[in-house]
Amino acid sequence: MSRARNDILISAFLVLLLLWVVWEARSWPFRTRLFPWAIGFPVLALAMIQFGLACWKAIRERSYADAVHTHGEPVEKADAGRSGHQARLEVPTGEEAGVVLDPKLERQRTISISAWTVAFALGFYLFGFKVGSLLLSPAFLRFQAEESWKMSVFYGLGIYLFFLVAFELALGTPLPSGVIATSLGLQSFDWYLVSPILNIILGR
Amino acid sequence: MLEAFLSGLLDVFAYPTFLLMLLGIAAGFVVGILPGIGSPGAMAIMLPFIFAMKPLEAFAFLLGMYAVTATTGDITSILFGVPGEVVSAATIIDGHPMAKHGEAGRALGAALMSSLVGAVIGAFTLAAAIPIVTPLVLSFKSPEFLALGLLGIAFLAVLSGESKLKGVLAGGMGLVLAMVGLDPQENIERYTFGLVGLWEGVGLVAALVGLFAIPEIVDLWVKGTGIAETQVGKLGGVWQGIKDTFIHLGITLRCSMIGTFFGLVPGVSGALSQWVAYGHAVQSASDKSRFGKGDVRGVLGPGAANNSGIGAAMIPTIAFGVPGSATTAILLGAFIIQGLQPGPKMLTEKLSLIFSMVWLIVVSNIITVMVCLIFLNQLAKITHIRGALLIPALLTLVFLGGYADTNSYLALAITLSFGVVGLVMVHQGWPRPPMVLGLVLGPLIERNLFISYEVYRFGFLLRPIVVVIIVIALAVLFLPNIQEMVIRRSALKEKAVVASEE
Amino acid sequence: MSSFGKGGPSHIPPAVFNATLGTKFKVVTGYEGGAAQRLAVKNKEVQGFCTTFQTIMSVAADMFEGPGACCKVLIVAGSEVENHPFLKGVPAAEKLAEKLGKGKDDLALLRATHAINRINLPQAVAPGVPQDRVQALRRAFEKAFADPELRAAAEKMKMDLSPKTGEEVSRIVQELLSTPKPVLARLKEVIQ
Repeated sequence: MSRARNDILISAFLVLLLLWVVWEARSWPFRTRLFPWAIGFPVLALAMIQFGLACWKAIRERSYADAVHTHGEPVEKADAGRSGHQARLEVPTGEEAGVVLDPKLERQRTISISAWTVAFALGFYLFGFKVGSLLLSPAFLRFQAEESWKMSVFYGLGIYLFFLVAFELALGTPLPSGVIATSLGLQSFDWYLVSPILNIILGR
Repeated sequence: MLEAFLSGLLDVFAYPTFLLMLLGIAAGFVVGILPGIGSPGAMAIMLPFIFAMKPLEAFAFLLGMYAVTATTGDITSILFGVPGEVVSAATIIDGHPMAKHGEAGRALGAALMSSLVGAVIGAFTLAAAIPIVTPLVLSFKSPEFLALGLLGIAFLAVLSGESKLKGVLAGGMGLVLAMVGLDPQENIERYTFGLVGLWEGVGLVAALVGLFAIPEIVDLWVKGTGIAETQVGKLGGVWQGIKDTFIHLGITLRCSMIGTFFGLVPGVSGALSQWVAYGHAVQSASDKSRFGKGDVRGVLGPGAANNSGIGAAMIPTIAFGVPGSATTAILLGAFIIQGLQPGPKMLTEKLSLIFSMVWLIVVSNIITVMVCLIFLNQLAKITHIRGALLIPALLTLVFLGGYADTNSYLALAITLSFGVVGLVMVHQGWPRPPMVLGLVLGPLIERNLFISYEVYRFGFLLRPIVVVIIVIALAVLFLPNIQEMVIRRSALKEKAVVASEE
Repeated sequence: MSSFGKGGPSHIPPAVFNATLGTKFKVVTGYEGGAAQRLAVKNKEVQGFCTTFQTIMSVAADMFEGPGACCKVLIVAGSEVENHPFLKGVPAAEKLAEKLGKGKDDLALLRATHAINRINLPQAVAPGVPQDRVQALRRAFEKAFADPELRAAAEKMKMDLSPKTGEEVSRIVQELLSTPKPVLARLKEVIQ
């Protein structure tokens, strides 16, 4: 999907979102409603302007593409040549950073890492940070990054030990054990195994 | 006064004060590097340990920790694009691109040295401000806080870079997102979807780590390389970064003053001052083309501002018992535990202790810089490790950071959601700093707008300090355009002269 | 009067005093916490604030004595006033209401709001916890508060340790829960 078309979708989404924001505030008391409307309406106006500009840009890009296709002549792009005095406040990625990627590969990798990011969040929610990272880090390294089993397992153990030593032992602030352990009435999945070992080591 | 100033310095090096300061520095080092586990949380955890200590020992421990966290928070911002502290977010904008270009050492050196310069300036401001602190802090009331918020809005446009409309729109969305939660006037739920976890808002830390860190992690995997894509050699080294601090001393000093000013004003946190400092660094540069792509000045500005705010934030805390930030609120608790009552009496009866605090901030920052210099080159090498090996640790730290802010599982979802937003913004060229600034400014503006109106009606617009700040805000907004117009006019004139000569 | 937000402990007493005693406090909400409320008084943005005596003694005593003194206590919620130099000549709200000839409804409202203030930092367990454990926890708290080390630390922090027993707190809670519905309705109206 072209960047121009994405811009249209994003702007349209923002317009709809902001319409909801101002609509939702209509039944609130005056003092509660004032700031949402004072900000919401101007931002909605800006979003509409952005939507209009995005549509106009998309139309221009289409006519440029048509002109090139018909005449085979380069047509000067309206936004070519950024001013040297303007700052660009975003991290350059991909091509701009000098790394050239096949778009299909880029899309594939983006989807896979996004799925793993969601998996990590879900894992921490279900199993807590200690056990979650013990399970997910080796899984990512082995099955996605194709690292060796040895590296993957040691890495996972390393993160687990970091949580155990830094948070539970040093700071005395145990991290939550995840929704599954809590709903089963367990302190945590690893507590029954680790606690006796710690008692022996620390002479408790 | 001079006697107290000097005895304060000697007291810092006495046993066990010095040892406790070193312990605090070590703890602060670890805490600063862990994203989201900020200095407020760490200091709250350490508070019980100070019951058995004497006042100077307790503050040596706590201030050693506090002084270091802002500096070390910059390390993860630069290396991984993950803000180690809320006040280290602006460092990502140029610091992380520098790391990607193989200049991680330079960025780290610049962050460290500018932090030291800022800390020294902030600490000595604390010392110098003692005679005048009362009228200085009391002159800031709700209208002045509101005006500072509006000054922040003016910087939205600066932080928008090339795409001004997108930037201002992102900032506007930040302001809208800041409204999520209970409204400060009537305690009515706004945009919370009935979730109690959203009553306090979306959470700045969860939003920050999601917005900045997750897109970087995705990019790291997609590229398939390490964080650094190129090798730069000596030019990318730590010493170059240290030299840069003195080459661009003007920016370092001015941004230190910005951080000091915002630190002095209670209730206006370092989360705002870092962006104002960054915006100033951009605006004051004649060639802005490298900002956002790895301009060392974009690291110097926020680095100096963060640490200079530390000493300055102590001023309202000590003089009035009004904490300037979450961390100084914890320090206020430490004062109470030690039986010290903040107020005018402290400024006269405990002068030596106050000067010891000044020296503690200075000395702990010097020690931090010296220790970091030993490790920085090694730390910079992390940028050459395979991305796949860094990703699980980074994802863990990111979600931990988001969770630690509110201790709620909802924060995981919020971090993820902002991650998606950040990805889309990066892909489509929407600047993210304005959104963060909007999130920071929203509560400040709304709260102070209502109070100003309730107490002063529209008369608050005529207060002298408010007028000065609004004039500065207008200058921030329109001066660059006026400058550009003047440059264009003189260029046209030159062209006309050359044409007529021909 | 500076206040945090509607329905909070710094908002309810002045609102109730306006409704029962005829005071004319204008409560300005939105101040972020006690420190911001006190700063607003110090810099003369507002003329007063509502807080606990505990807070005054631990962080705000300088506002009532010494070179930075800018405040005096106007009225204390409840029926009794502690013996302290800051509170000399200060009336208790319920006594003042009786003196002014206010009705039973006004007194009931004052008592209901003060009940909340009589319990500071309560420690509670979930419903269904066996009574013997509740008793064990209560006795442990009483022992802790009688500990000389704890009392010395509290004195150092200028904190007044006047703990109530679990039984006393339960009694106050029952009192609060048995507040007549009309009084609660009036309280809700007053807070709005």
